[in-house]
Amino acid sequence: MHKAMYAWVRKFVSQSWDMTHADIQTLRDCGVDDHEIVVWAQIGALQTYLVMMGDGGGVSLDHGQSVGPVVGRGRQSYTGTSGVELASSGGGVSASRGTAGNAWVAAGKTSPQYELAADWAGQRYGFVPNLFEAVISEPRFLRSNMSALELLESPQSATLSPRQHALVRALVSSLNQSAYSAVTTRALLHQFPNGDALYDKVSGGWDPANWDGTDQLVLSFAVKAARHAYKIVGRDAQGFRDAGLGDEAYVDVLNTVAMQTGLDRLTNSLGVRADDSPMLTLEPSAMNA
Amino acid sequence: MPHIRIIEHKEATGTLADDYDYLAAAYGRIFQCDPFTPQVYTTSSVIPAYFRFGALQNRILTDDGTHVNAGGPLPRTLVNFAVALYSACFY
Repeated sequence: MHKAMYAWVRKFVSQSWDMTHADIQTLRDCGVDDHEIVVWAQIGALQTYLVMMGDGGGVSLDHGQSVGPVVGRGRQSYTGTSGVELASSGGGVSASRGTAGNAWVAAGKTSPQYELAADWAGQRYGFVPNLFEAVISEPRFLRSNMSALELLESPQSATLSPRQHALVRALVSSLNQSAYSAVTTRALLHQFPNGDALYDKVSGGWDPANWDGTDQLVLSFAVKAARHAYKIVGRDAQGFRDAGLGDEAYVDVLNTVAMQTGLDRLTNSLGVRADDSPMLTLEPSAMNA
Repeated sequence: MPHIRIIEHKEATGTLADDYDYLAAAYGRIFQCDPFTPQVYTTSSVIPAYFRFGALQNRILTDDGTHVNAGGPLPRTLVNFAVALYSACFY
């Protein structure tokens, strides 16, 4: 079972877009039930976020305390560290991947936390995302999912534009080959002038030469954070300052990449079927209807 | 040295201070030492909404700071470890 878990996590981290129902079945064959698989996927998503924040922030290890399992105790390098290189991912996304039901794992029972989340989503988006139903068996993670979805709706800094924020989301979910997120990220960009063309450009394979100015800076950093956060160095943040974007925009992009990647790995690994509608907040009048 | 500006616990106000207080108390309890906030959470200190998200992840992963990790055929912290391992994250 240990071996199966490590193999599953390795794939979750490095190429979640290639995960299939067979990966779920392998865990089941080792005695891991669907509820536990959901827990592992959620933990993986949350840890993905923390890993990227640790590497992207360039913060030092906490001396004297272990805040979790430590690999290579005493090593503090955040650069030039070899690890599992992310498999190259081309542009485009795969088709909807759920089979029967909305995900590869069995649905669970509803709960007060699920009902709360469902109400929240119904008010906010007009529907309950398939993601919520996929993780219904472990409702404590719904708080995190709701918070992430809300924060991902818009930039949280003054210098990162809504257009650039949407570009980051579309680019990252494209790198992660997330069919689930593509519905929303395409709709987000559609709201801007030439939005559809922008979406096709950003999701058609990364080439920095296709961009210029702060778009190139922001998106190049997003790619670095998404593919090899351990290679982030101080001059990446300095680039944001030199361009007039500042630390807040840097943190904004880093968080957006980390949350989007966690969400994409979660939905890829569980085979969550794409929603019929994007997760865009309803107009206030519709929310109050 | 962090890549970006960090707002330390002692400088924090409002929700940032609240979340720092929770994290520091939780880690001080579990390690039976003076309260401290692991530095991974401080990366987002310049944007309190993201700092709160980080604190929320901690609450969920540690069952509100209790670190009770019951259930499952394997210790769930092994999943955390494996993600960090395969991400080449030495933190």
